[in-house]
Amino acid sequence: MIDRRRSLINFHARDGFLIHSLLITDRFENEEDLYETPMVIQVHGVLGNFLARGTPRLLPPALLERGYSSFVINTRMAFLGQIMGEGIFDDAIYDIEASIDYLTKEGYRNIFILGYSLGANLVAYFASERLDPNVKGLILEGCAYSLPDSQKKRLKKWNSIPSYEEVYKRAKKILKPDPYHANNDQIFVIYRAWAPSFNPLDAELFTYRTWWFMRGPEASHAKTCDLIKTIKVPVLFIQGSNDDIVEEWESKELAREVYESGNKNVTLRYISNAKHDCMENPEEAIETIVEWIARLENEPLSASKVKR
Amino acid sequence: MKFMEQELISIPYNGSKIDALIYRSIVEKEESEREPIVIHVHGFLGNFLDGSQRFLPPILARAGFSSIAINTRMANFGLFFGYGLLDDTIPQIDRVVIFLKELGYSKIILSGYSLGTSIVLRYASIRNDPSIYPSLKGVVSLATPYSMPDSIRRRWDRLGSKPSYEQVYEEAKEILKPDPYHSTEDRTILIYRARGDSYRPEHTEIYTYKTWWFLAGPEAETAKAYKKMERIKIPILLIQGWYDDIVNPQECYDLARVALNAGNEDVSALYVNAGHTFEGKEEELGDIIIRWLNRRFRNI
Repeated sequence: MIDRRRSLINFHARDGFLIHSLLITDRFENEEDLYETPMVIQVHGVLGNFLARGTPRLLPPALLERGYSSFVINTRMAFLGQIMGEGIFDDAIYDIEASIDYLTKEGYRNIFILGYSLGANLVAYFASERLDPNVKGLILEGCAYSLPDSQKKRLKKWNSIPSYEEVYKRAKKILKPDPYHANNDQIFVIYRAWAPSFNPLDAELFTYRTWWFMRGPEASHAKTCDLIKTIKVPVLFIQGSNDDIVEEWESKELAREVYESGNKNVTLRYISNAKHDCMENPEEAIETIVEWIARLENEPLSASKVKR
Repeated sequence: MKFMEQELISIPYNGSKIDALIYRSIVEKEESEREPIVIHVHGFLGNFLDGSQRFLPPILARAGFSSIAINTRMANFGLFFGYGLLDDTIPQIDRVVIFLKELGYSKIILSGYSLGTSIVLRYASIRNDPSIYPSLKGVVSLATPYSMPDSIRRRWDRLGSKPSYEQVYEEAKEILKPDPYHSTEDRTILIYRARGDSYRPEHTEIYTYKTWWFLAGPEAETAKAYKKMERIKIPILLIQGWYDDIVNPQECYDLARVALNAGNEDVSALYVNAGHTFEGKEEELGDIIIRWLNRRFRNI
């Protein structure tokens, strides 16, 4: 008999970054059942972590009730990563890679990856770069069509201070000639980034480098629309029907692009009565995820249609 | 050999939760010797996955002491989203103490690191009546500023911060008037060259005017450790790194003097050859605390 586990686990990415994670598994009769049961790696959103409210906090126990395991990771984008400079979007896929390596070495072979919000864009980038045979599918929750375009539009809407163009100009000046290796990075604040007020909760904080690779016009890996076509594993897009951060068309358009690229195993679901966080309607969100995984397990090669 | 069990927990608090990591020592001891338990409080922008909150509990557990490392409202983003006010952490610590008592612990030690020392010293100074708070048995204070506002002001002046301490004070007064605590006008501020002589992120501090006012401003009475020391009646252990570039080693000595002069007969101040984070001296730090705990609570 294998006991139920809720363990804090640490391991390193290939570049040495220390990843904190939470492993949650049910009680099993034997090891074979443990390793065959779907394991869902979960990647947080902006400034998130494995205890952040909403999906990161609520989904693992809900999946556990349905017998599914979770591995919730804090990537380098977690907590203060984007603010203190180590949260470089492009490098964060090393953290997903290391999570899969860790689970694979443990013996898990039925792995799914769920990304929430920023995490969805990160997972999409990862999957466009790596084809891991142990990864059976992706769940992209509240996935923006393009992180740079999304912020540009939002900052314009709220008349941010500084504007998107001003940030870009400063970033170019500070980070030239090589943004990735620039060693004179700085933190900056964007006021009126989420609403027309100077309230701290409506501000955004980055360093010029973290902004450059996540939100800047040249952040090519954060433009999910440009790389989603290369994803070959099954994809489930979920989005709250009342999402106030990502527009309704964004998931639909991404799903369409996956389908038209030849990957017919793509599903799109809107979760009713939920905003950006689908776990605002936990029953429907869980049912959608669990049904999709179950269907893949039973019919791994079946082609589903893009549907709402 | 397995010497502890670690569990991630959430303590219900005021419609929300206090996240914590509890480390239960399973080193064989007499039932009467499973106490005390140590509450660890993080530093500036910290949380229970970082620094001494992370490395001390396993070291203490090997010696038979259990710990709980908590995230207060000043953890992570508290200081720069505006809700990380020092005084508001007191009811959170109260809740953790009650939680531990419900688990059967009756001897509790508070341990704070850097900014966390302001929290634990403030707590111990206002919960200082043993007839009302008998479970609070001692305070461990690591890298303790004599006065957080004075310490920050000195450091910013020395490094030529941008903006200066005086500029921030003037702006804060203007924005938060007439009542800083209840002011709804707040905003995020960056202080460059606050922790080193560059504009790099690691040398930058982030606050809102409000969180700065109550932690670093000249009127932040609750963050002045020397004023708290005078009121603490339980044993105090101060530990300071000789090479700390954030807190001057002299501040530790001065704080110990204040406590002794106020009549506290059990005050210890010890130094290690380390910087502000005690990096490289984790075991030595742990050993000092273990010896201090053993002498007072285990008759060893």
